[in-house]
Amino acid sequence: MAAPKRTLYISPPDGGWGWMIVAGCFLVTICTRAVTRCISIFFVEFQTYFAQDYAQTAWIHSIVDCVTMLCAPLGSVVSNHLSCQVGIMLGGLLASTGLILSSFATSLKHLYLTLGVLTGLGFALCYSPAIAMVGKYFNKRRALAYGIAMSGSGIGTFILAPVVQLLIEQFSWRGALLILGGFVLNLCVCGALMRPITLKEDHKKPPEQDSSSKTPKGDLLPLSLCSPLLEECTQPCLCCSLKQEYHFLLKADFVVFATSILFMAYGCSPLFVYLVPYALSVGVSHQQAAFLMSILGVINIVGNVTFGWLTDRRCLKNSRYICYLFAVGLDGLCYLFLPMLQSFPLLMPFSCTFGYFDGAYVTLIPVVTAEVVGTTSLSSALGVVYFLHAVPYLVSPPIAGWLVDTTGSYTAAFLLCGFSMIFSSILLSFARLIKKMKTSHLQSLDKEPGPKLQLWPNGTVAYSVAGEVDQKDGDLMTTGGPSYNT
Amino acid sequence: MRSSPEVLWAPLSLSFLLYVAGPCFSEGTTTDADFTTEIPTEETISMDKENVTSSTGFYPELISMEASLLVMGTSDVPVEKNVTVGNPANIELKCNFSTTQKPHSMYAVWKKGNDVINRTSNVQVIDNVLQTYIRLMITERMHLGSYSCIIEEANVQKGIFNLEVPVVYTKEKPLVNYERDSVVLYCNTKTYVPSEWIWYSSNGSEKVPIDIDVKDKYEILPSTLNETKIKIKHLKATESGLYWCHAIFPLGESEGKQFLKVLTYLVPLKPFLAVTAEVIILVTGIFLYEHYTKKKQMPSEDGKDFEQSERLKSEDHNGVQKDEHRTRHRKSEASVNFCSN
Repeated sequence: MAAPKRTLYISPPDGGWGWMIVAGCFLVTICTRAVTRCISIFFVEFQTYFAQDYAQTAWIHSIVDCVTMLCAPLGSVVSNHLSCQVGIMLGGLLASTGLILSSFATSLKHLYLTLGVLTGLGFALCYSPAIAMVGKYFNKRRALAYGIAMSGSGIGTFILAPVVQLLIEQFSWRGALLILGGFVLNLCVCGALMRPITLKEDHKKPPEQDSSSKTPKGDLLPLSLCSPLLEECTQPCLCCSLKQEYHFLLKADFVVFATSILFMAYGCSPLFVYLVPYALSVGVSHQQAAFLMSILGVINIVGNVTFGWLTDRRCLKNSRYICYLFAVGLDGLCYLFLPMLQSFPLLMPFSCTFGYFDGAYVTLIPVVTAEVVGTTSLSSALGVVYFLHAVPYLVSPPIAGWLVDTTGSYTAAFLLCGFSMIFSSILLSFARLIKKMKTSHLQSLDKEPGPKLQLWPNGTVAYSVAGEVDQKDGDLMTTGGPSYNT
Repeated sequence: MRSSPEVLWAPLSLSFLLYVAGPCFSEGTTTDADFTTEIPTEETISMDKENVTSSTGFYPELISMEASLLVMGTSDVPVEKNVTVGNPANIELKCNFSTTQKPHSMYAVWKKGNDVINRTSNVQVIDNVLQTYIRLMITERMHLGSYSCIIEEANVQKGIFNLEVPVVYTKEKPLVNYERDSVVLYCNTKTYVPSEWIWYSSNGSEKVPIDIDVKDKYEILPSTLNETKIKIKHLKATESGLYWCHAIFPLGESEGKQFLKVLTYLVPLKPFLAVTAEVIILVTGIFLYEHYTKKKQMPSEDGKDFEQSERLKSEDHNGVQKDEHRTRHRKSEASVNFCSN
């Protein structure tokens, strides 16, 4: 395995130790996302034990999910300033402590604090740094790597749900939570796997500091994702480094992308809440409605991996951005058809297509994020992206519920979600079109186009190039890196 | 309680038969030899009188119920239906037989268990459906049981109504809990309200009523009338076993049972420790491997490919630093040696 620590890789290794990173990230998604989903299995037990109603117990799930997402930027900061290994292992310990403490819970409020906040915080420290790490180790096969890593949440739910059920039957919820706490300790194993890697773009800064004349173009931000460079930590001005790390927040590209994420997340979350009630309302039996949900889950996993593999093909590799648009747009389109589908045989294909494209764009979110901001600030950017997920996740199901209550049917709620997703997709495509026009404009202005620009004749890279052209010339080298392979 | 079913049986059956009111009632067809010989005639008469009055509103508080069945003529398998009777009620049972051709027999037989209680020609034929019904007054436990309607066409067709007291629902799976903790056992009867709930625990193989008055041990939690919740506090490992909840209804009683398992905290601790050990082994393994590969890579690093100039430069840089470091180190070592010498 040719993956020495701190060897200076010019480009991501696209394999080798990278596969261990993918495995680690896979385990992280199991330990965070799948465990979060499995917490709802405990609700029935909590309800009877604490003699509380469903709404109050359901808060636990909302709190875990919300804290995980809202604290995602915190996870990136910790990983950037300590190291990815330390950050994830710390998160694993925190999450495990939360679960173990909640196994001694005496009231529901105790559970909110331990199972909700503490575990959620632990998950936050692990989730986005682990996902960002995959992006550092992979470039050519990035989408596939993400597909495999992200499928952890689906596959994990599949395996963990019956296991947790069994544990509850055997050891009651207290014992089950304790053992789950032990299982979540596996995050420490994932953390240990996350060997830091120093890419060229990360390492450009130090020589520049030594002799600024040597690399005049290398005015890339001195960002070090999960970098072991502890000097950064000791820097007196933490604020300054944070400012530089989150510099991408002001990029026009990222702002557009973040806005589209908001709409996309608004659209996608209510389906998982309202698909079963909707199916029941049109007369589908309980078992069939549950079956629709499992189909959605299975196809989701298939979508994760196959779409990842597909977008890594040579012909599609440079249009991952378009693939993402396509997947989000089609998902929105599926929504628009949903009110017309009023029977089980009609809902089946919906479940399949929606599940597939849902899995597809979930895989592509980190890939597109990396394309927009570059791998250097990927960790911080992913933190922000997942943070942005939290807000629509919180407000969207209640809004949809309110719409269902006031209009008396699911049509309005589903159409709103569908249009929201389609709008998200259209927003991104417009942004790209404008960039493209700008680039061609610049090219025509430039009488003899630079050799760099000729290297990337296709749209995607032109886009990414355009993103940098008006800012810094030096960024070209790094963000355009992937297209050397074409 | 059911000490003399045989004796009580006949008059009750008869009371049904006599109660059959309106168009359904037909005295001529109801005589059954076995049936009448067992019963003292006086009683029959008195029953008859009673029923006459009852039909004019003797039990005004009785609720009315209806249950119907559809028996397809193509199959010989009897169609069954469970009818839950929570309170005394007037019940009309209706059987619809669907036959392949127009039915020719114009009478149906009603049975309770194996005893014929009514043979009636009062059937209605609508197209290929033969319909018959019977009216029952259920006021006692013995009135419950299985009632069947039979017609003999090309084959024997049978529909069965099972009249029963409400079932008590409880958690099927055993409850697991820990020592010193508390547990809530519950039973419910959906919509039927029993007059009383009684909890029993097991003592060996015996059922022992739970003394709710024991302080700080048992507590009946407030709940709706159709359910009961008992909280057992300060659990001990010896309290594992079966628990029963009895629901007493006007027409009988029914019970649900629940298995309680009381564990010590050591039980889940074992798998937890196993998982923790696995994690510790893996983490140390990974770090050792990382340490090992790093060491191995260090010396061979200089001899690696020099495709990229930047990489070469920086590695050179590192190498120089290392050498410097090493020489310094050696110097200091030498000086230490010198001193010790």
